[in-house]
Amino acid sequence: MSINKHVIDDLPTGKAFNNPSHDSQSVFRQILKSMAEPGSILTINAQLVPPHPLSIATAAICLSLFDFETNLWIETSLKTHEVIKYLKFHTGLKIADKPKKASFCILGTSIPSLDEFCAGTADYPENSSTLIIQTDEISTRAQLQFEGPGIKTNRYVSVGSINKGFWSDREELQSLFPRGLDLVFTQNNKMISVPRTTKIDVL
Amino acid sequence: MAISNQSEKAGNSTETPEILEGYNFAYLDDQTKRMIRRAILKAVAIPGYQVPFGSREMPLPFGWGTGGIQITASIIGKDDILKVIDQGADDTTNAINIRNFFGKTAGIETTEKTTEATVIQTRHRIPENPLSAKQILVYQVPIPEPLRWLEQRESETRKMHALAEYGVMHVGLYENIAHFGRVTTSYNYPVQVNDRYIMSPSPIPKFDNPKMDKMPALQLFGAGREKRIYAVPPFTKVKSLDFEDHPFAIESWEESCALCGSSNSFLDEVIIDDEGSRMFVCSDSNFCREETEKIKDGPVTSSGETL
Amino acid sequence: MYVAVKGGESAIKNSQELLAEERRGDKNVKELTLDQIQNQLSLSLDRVMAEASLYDRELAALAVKQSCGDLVEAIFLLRAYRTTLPRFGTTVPIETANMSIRRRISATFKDLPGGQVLGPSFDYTHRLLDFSLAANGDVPEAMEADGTVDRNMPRVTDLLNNEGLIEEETAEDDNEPFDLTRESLKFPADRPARLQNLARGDEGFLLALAYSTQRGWGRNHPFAGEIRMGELSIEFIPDELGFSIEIGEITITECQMINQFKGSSDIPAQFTRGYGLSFGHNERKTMAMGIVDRALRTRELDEHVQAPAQDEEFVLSHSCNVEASGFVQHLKLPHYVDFQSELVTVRALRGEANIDKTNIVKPISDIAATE
Repeated sequence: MSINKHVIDDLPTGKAFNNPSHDSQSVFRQILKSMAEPGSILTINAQLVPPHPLSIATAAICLSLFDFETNLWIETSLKTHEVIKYLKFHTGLKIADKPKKASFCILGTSIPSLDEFCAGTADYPENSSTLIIQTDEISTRAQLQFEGPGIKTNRYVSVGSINKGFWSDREELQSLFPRGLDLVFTQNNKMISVPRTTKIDVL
Repeated sequence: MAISNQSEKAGNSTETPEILEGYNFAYLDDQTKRMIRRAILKAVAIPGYQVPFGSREMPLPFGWGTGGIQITASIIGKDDILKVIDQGADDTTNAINIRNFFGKTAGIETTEKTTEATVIQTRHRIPENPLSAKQILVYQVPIPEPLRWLEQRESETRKMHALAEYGVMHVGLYENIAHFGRVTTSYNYPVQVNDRYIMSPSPIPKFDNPKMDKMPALQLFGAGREKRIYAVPPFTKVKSLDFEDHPFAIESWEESCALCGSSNSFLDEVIIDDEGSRMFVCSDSNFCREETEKIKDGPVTSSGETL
Repeated sequence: MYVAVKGGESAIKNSQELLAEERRGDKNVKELTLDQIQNQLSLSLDRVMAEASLYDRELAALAVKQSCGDLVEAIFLLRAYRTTLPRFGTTVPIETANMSIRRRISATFKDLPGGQVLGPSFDYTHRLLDFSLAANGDVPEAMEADGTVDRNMPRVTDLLNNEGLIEEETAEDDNEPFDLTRESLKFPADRPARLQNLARGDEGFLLALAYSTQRGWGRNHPFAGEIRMGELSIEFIPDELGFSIEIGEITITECQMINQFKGSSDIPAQFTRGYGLSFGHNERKTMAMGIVDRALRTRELDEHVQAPAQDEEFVLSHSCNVEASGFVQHLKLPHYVDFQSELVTVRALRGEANIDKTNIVKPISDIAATE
């Protein structure tokens, strides 16, 4: 009987995809559209109940893209026991102890120095982290101006208040292209992607 | 080991292929799709860069579209409408085979109409109708490395891409001009994406190159045998390499399409008798049919096939 | 009147039906059973399983039957099936020293612990067509060995290693080995990646490369230290049990090549190694693999790449017959669009060179030279 209790204790709370295969596909298409059209606000329609403090969009991205080949780093304030249990149970991912070792990182708006993350190499620039940043605002309020691949002229959006210096650090990092970091901002069930190629002006 | 008697189903001749039991939606398992999806996202984030991926053996031979098929299988969903073309046409054997493959394994809707499709998989052409932001164009790529003919070693070409050291490519094109008086590359004509990576557009005729520039649709490229995926996001600059005194130019024909009369589409040459008489017809079969339908009184039957 | 060529669904279906008919052949002749193929074409199965990287005799027999005996096609069928299988885990590494031996020979020592065990082999036959087989001749029972084969069969290379005469073989690092079936090969490739590639590489390709080294194109002085063939049990440790259980038995052929010695003022002279391993009974393949493995070790052994067999990008990029067969044969697919582009270009070049249509066609280089 003790075995059963152990198993039940290990089950995560919350709710994942109803149909993992098809839901993963439709969420992926939203992520793809988001990455291909930086600055577009996309919404996730999956009926998810992720454990606090994961947003629906963050959880959907994780469930759609992660598996046993994924190394994830989670920033301390978001790294609750329930979050780890939920993500491990539904994806089989591995938790990385340093952001440098992770292919994906989940963060809040207080973002460590960008040197802490893996930006890939010039030979293999894809071996870089994708940062999923949970924020308090995703809107069309003109806080940032986006320009670059995927954008016909420009787009104006807000991704909330990110810590000071972040955008200028990012601009500095852009001089190292093709090395770089790709970002996905999430709030509730909304997301905005910022691949390394997007030129951003803070207005 | 269970070898089921699937052979009993063979020989059933319905127009829409039956859905194959016992396989995943769109054939690939979810783990493989996730691996490919992660590669696609990186490809989109680094336009024109070839992302290595764990390409799988597919039930179609390498060289026959396995890269495109793996991308299509990883992106399509139940609500997508798929169009497959080879040489611009929906009815070439390879296009039919691939369309049937997805019909059988995903049971999704397929179409020949370019404007109706949400995902278009292609070999060697870009459709004549302009594509929209709601569409994704998936290219089948045989050799993804544009520098391969000048430098065979991947270890070397990787360095060239890393450092954007593309002198060898310009020298190659220039030698071509010195020899022939012009750049003689007529298909798979190299392009530069977003002023950075030099990229193979796949063996499309250079006629199609200008369509890639600032295209509203997302362009994904899959090379299965070479295990590479690359991408061009919408509205991204794609420039065909050239020189000031030898600007890039596309093919043109004095003839018009014998079926629809179009004078601005890519034409296939057909030999029609023993004397070698020739006629020219659109390579884009859907475009030609739609153009033909516009000319109601044209010398063409309603099926659009016979003159 | 012009009718556009329609590839046509019905044309494709007809072609498939003709193939099925050809596969079956004369219906008055009894149909081959998978049992017959498994039992009487066992070496075909061994090659198919080795290059498909899937050990399943029944499925391999089906692939051979379905491909009308075209082994490269059969390998492709089995590979394509393999990719659809879920991965449950990784077995315990096999230990070939524990093999239950059916054949074991060494070309480096006349006698050694365990002795030379000839086992089943073409090596001692005269290559004369045996017409009694055509007449369905019965096979005489093979004589049972008197007493069992010696269980103590140390590997020749282990014997040499005891004396320090041959390089030690140790893992380069503690990392999980690269997995060729899940990742794309990167260059420079380490030895685990190279060996995985060679293990599923085309037998004919490896054979030709190995042969080329023997003729001086990257010579590495191989001795067949040992070739052993026999059965090994495969063990798996399920997470929930925590101890290993036997899940099956496979036939394996292993070849250890002993090659040209190396040494310097610091390191005393030592023989080097080349390694070949294959599913099934497959001596030609494992020997070729051993020689090519050694040829590819140029970086570790400070050798210069001088010959094709030593060039890892050349060898590893072209060893897979599923890839090679597909790409060579893809030229059968329509290329009218690209060809049309070339026609337009060549006509333009000829126009510029003012060549009259009635002229004899000159090579393009001559045309350019006249400009």
